Amino acid sequence: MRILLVEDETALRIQLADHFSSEGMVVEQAADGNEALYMASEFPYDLAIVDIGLPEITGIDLIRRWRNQGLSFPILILTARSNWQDKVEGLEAGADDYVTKPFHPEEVQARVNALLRRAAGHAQAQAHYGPLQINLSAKQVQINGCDIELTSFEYNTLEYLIHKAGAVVSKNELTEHLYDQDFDRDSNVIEVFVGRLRKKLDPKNQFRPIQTVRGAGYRFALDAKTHNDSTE
Amino acid sequence: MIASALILPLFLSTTGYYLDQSFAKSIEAAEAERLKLQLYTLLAEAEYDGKLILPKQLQEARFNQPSSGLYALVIDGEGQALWHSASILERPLSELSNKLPELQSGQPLFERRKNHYLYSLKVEWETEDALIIPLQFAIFDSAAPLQAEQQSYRESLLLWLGGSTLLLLLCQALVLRWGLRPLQGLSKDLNEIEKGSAERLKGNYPKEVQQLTDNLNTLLNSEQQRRARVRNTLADLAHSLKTPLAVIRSADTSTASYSELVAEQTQRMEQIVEYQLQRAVSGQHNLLQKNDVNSLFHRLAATLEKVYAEQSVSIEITDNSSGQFSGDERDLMELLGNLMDNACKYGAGKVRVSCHNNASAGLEINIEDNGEGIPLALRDIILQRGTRADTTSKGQGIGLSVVLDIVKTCKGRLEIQDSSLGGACFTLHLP
Repeated sequence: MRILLVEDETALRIQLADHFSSEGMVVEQAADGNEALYMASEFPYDLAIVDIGLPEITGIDLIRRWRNQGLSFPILILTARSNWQDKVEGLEAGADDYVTKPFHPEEVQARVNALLRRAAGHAQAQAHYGPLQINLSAKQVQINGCDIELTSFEYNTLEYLIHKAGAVVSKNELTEHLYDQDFDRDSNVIEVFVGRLRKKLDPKNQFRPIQTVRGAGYRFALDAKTHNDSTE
Repeated sequence: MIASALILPLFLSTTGYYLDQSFAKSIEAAEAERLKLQLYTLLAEAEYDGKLILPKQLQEARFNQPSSGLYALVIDGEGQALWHSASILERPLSELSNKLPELQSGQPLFERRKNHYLYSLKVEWETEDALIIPLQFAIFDSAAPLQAEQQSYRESLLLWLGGSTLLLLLCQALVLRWGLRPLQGLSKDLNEIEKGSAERLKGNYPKEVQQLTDNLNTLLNSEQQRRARVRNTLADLAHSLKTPLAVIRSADTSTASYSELVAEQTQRMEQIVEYQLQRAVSGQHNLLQKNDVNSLFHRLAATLEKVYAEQSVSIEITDNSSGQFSGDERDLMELLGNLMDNACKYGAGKVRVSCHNNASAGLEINIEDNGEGIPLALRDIILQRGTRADTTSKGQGIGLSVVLDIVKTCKGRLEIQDSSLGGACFTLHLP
């Protein structure tokens, strides 16, 4: 997942960026609203974290401008002032959730994960796709009830494809959302990851969770099951 | 005062003008009547026997006196003068007769002509021989006496109206000065408060400004309380933070539990700071602001349903809910926000809110959830606890402490009851 982090306090920004990077997310940073406006207009993001108290353009103003531009990625606001007026104003401007400072990075991570799940249409942390069961908050995958060990990149790749389930995701898009800018990209690396992922999930080639769409990219091909379906 | 100085003379001038016009019309009407009477008297004295015959001495003495100012003239159908009174001597006859307009028989004419009033009547004189002889009688009366009378009236009017205007303006100035004296006193008292020599308005004021002074005193009280609160908040904050800092400082850094202790005390300090920050926002009275509770319900519901989307929380605002809160909108936002947030957090997905104003009891706000409720034994403890930061304990939300603080400042009350939804019902009673 590709996240834009907008925070003017450098120490906090770096701390949060390091945390999310360690969780396998691609994090890009902006120190003020103008920079953030430019970056969001140039690059695709899956989520933004915005500090309310920014210099020049306020966090709330930034959010309003993004929404007016039609940018619909989920937004989590960080606010030092814990009064309800600011929280309500932030969410009315277009944010989706808030965290008050001081916070633990894990708390921010949990909110980010929840927002990403919601954005992908997952109301719950657990999702079932045929024999595949994924726990989005615990980052665990099971096939027919058996735990599958995936590396961080393999899990992130699967999670991204599931978030875009049904749509074709190009290798380029996958690269952008899974790797840092300064990573030396080679589309073959993606092919290798997808290949390994397929082998782990479906060694006997039975249900084929990930389809290759020639010349276009990959698609997560399994349909989501409701909870009732899965218990039948 | 300036407005009266402009309006009063204008009003009295207009009155004077209409009075003058009315007098002029009245004296002219009287003159018309007089001249009409004289003309008819002349008619009665006239005879026609081949020619018009009128006595040498007429009843009206002024007709007989040369240059008396009252002249009579009779002309025939061709405009030729047949007779004139003895008073016409110095004026050429033709001059007067030439100026007479042609009239219909029986139709009188009364008009002002420069220095004279004219009353004229054309008659058709029937002789014994049944001949009809058209005759026009005209009476001229000098306008000088009437003009003099009108002039005299105008002078009196000017004198009396002018004098009245000045007198009224003077009285008004005195009344205003006397009436505004309490406000001058008020201004002086406010200066004293500004200088710091006084804390509130203590003077006796007329009942017209009593409401104003009462409100000002309430505002001053509120401001003083707020300043005291800020001082107390800072003192509380410093005092409260010292304890966890002291705990960290005095702990043995070599023990295995040191990092856990630091984490715990750090969390404690975070809670204290958060609580004091929220407290600092609250309790600012805005006497005149009325806030619609329902609109805040809607805003907070939209916010909380977004935040708790994963738990599928739904917030219902009852249909007949309506109420107004007198005070700062931020206080109301804190009250409702914290209670509704708790309801979402501790409920099982369903929250219901309502409010209504009662003339005697004030504003009542209910926030209910379908959670596990709060046991009776805990309710009093929750309500009594934690308006001071250092008495809050682990597990008690900062939110409820802030709610209790604001309710106390507003001189209201918070109750906890069972909700028909199955969980707890928090009821706010506010003035």
